[in-house]
This record gives sequence, structure tokens and C-alpha cells, in this order.
Amino acid sequence: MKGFSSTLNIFAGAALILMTALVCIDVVLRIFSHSILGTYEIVGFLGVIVSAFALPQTTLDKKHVSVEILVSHFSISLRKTACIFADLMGICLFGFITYAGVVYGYDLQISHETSMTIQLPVFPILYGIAFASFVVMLVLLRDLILLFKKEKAK
Amino acid sequence: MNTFLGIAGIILLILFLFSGMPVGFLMALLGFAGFSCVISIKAGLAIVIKDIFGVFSSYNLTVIPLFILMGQIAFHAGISRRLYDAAHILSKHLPGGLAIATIGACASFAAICGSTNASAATMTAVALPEMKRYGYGMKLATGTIAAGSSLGIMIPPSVIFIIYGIMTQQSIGKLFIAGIVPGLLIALLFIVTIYVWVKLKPDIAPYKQNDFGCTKSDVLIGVAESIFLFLLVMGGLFAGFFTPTEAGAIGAGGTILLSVLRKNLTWSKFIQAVLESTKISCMVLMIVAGATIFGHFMAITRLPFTLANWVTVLPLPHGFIMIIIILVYFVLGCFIDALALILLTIPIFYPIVIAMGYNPIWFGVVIVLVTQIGVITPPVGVNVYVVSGIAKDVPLETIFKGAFPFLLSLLLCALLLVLFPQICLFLPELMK
Repeated sequence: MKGFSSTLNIFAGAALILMTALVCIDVVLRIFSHSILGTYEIVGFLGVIVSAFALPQTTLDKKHVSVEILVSHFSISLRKTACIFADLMGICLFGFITYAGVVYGYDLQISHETSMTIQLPVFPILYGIAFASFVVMLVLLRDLILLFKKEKAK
Repeated sequence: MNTFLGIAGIILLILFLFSGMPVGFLMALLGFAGFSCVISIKAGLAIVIKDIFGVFSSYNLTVIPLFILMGQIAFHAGISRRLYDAAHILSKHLPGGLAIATIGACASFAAICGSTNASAATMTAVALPEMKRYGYGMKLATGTIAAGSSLGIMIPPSVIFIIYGIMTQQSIGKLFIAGIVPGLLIALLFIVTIYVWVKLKPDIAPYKQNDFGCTKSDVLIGVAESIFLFLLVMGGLFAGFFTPTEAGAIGAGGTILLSVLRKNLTWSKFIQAVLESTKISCMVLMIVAGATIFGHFMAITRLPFTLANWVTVLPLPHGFIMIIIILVYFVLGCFIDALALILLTIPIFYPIVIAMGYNPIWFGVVIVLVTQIGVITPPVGVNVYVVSGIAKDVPLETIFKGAFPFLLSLLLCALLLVLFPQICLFLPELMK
């Protein structure tokens, strides 16, 4: 799971660099009265890759903002219950996102929905979000299993 | 019925917020559940995926990863270290010179990096050993770093301003420009605080002839690269030549180019900076996506508008209501992360503030300042925790106590902004 998440994060990083380069080149070309067609759309699509593909690694590294002030004062068993609750809720959420991403992506695929300027198909982006959400679900599931394993070992 | 569901949603949000569940996940889940209750599960699923896709693919929001990348590259290329050295040379003759240098370096670094955490981490690593070496009291040293690194929230490019601008459809460029004078004012007030503190308690910062091995050319180089990057980004925005996203890309590209040319950025540092940027961006944008879903749920319950109508007809002076709102931000800021706080509360308070006739740019600056206070106040002062995480030998209590005098400076600045709104409004009014 770790390797898979970090590979996806590398894709996210590559998309970020590509986005930076694309916008910079577009700005420089504008000085010479030229521009790259569809920059606006490509940057948007790259934005999805940056955020969605970084989700599993961010979740794995526990980088998401959460309010820990009360939980840190809980007893160990209560803290564990809070962790299980948070993981289960997360699994539910990303399960819904995966399902909704596949359904919406399929709708766009059969309706041949494309971007306005360069006619890029939109559905692969939706499938990308669904796939990343599925990986996040697995990451949270792994957290949950590890939590129970630790409990069993004790 | 829908209003009742909206209130229930807010209560559940507050309740579960303290369960330790990631804020973005929680808002998305409650927004989905609420939307499904009011309309249908199918509509709930549709709003979740459309909002996530909308936020992640938003051209306007891509400014966030770009400015984060700029800050991370600056951080990994050691720009903050050179800024600190430069500031030290300039302030070495003043009482508490090293602490003043820290504030100067923090303010300059904030101009190219919007992350207070990165600023706190780097300044603790760079400035704390120097202040220790010169026998500075840990209260002053750590308090200065925690407070100084909070300047990144106010001095552009600030992620909080970007989020506020997008949520309220205000110009991000104007918000950035509006943050410059208050940011500099806060830095000045911090310096005055240090000066007065050291004058009252000279033992806390013993004056020694320092042996800092920097020359005037080091000062020039240390300051020049940051000034160049700041002018490049803000100049383009101010002149109307760039959109904020373009400014972010030019800033990130410029920082990479400059660091490579100056041989300060190795391949491994570059990769580290990029991969860290994606994670921070994802964290920020997941909260934005969650807040968007929750915001849509709030909108269909019409709770914010009902609340705005109710508050504006209250037989109370508008100034009094505004003070209450600021106090609410102040209290919540002590418990909730600045970004999450803005995202959670803006849909509720913004319509009220606008209905009362207040300037949205001014309100943005005021609440950003109030949330800035939250990063150094207990119990959740995130900057204090970052400093404490690196300076493991300094008790958390000492850092909080050290940050307290700076808190008074921030409160004074908030008061000045309320009394004289032109402090933050005169620069944006000059914009094209």
C-alpha cells in the first residue's frame, strides 16, 4: 500500500511540475502575442491529478488537518474508539466517492463529454478520482486492521 | 424543517470535529448526509463527486499548489537561512538584535512562502541555536519564532486569503495587496515588543559583540533574491499583468530557476519539495472540497440567509454585532485550525457582514488577523507545537508564555484595523 500511494504521489508531483511549466511558458509566450491553446483546461485537469493522486499518501502520512485537542485527553480505549470511528467514517465517505466517481465518469463517457476548447474527454479524470478514492479507502482499511492487530498483540 | 436540519448539521459538525476525524472528510460526509436527507441519496452522491471534481479542477484554486510549491522550494533551497543572516547583520546593534532579526527574516520569508509551519520549522532550526549561543532567554527566543512565523498568514501570498477570496468571490489580488500594510505593521509591533521587553528585562537578551561571519555582500544577496521574487509575483498582480494562478506559477518557476542558478537546490531537495507540496496542497484542497459540499448543504437549508436576516434586524448597533463576530473567531481560533475555521464560518458570517454593509476586503483582513492570533494561543496554537517539536528541550508552557506579549501586539493591530479600516484598504483602492 505504501509503495502504491507513493507512486501515485509521484504522478501528482509530476503533474504539479507540468502545471508550473505550462503556465510559465504560456505567460512568456503572451509577451510575444502567442499563447498555448487550452492552458486553462489542461491546468484544471492537472489540478485534479495533483490533488486526487496525492490523497492516498497524504492520508497514509496522516497529514490531514484534524482537531486532536479533546482526543489527546481521552483514555487509551476511548482514543481507540475515536480512531475506529474516524476510520470507518472515512471508509464510508471514500466508498461513496468511488461509487459516485465511477457512475458520473460512465455518464460522461457515454455522453462523449469533452472540454470546450481542446475537446479533451473528461471521463478519465473522473475515473482517476474514483481510483484514488478507492486507494484511500484501502489505506484507511489498512489503518483499521493495524489498529485491531495491535489490540490483539496486546 | 430544512433549517432544523441545517442546525443539526452544525451541531454534529462541532461534535464530531473533536473526535479527531480529518476536518475535510467530516465536512464532506456531513454535507453528503445532509444533502441526501433534504433531497435524495442520488442527489447527495452527485453533489459530492461534482464538488470534488469542481474544486480539484478549478483553475482559480490551482493557485494554491503553485504558491505552496514556491514556498517549499524556497524552504528547501535555504532562502530563509540567508534572510536570517541578512536580518541579523542589519539589527545586530539593537537590544535583542537576534530576536529582531528573526522577526525581519520571518516577515521577508512570509513574502515568498505562505506556510506558517514551514516558516516556524525553518526559523526554529536556524535562529534558535544562535539565540541559545548568545544566552537569550528561551521564553523570548521561542516566543519570537512562534509569533514571527505567524506573519505568513497575513503577508502575501497567503493561502487563507486565496480561500477567502474564492469563497466570497473577492479579488485575490486585492486581498493580497490589502494584507501588505497590516503584515508590516504587525512585524513592526513585534519588533517594538521585543525592544520594550529587552529594555525592561535586559537579562533576557544579553548584549555581546557578535562574531557573525557575514559580510555586507551576504546581506545584499540574502535580501535581493527575496525582494526579486516578491516584486515579480506581487508586481505582476498589482499591475494586472498576471492572474493569481499565473503569479503562483511564475513565483514557483522563478524560485526554482533562481535556486538552481545559485546552486542551492539539489535534485533530492527538489523532489522532496515537490512531493511535500502535493501533500500540503491535497490537505488544503480536501478541506476546501469538504467545505464546498457542506456549504451546498447549508445553502439548501437556507440557514445562513435566515440567520443573516435575523441578525441584521436585531435591535443592536452593527458595530456591536461585528465585535461579537470577531470574538467568536477569536475563541474558535484557539481550538480550530485557521484554514478550517475560515471555511467553516465564512458561509455563515459573510452574508451577515455584507448585509450590515461592511467592506468584504476589510472583513477578510480582520478575520485573517484574528485567525493569526489562533496559531500562537493555547490549546491548539499550531506554531507553538511546531517550535516545540523541534526545540524538544523547551517546555511547551515556556513557548506559550513567550508568545503572550506578541499576542498583545496582534490584538493592538486588530483594534487599529477596526478603528482605521484605511490601513488595509488604501492600497487595494490604488489597484487597476
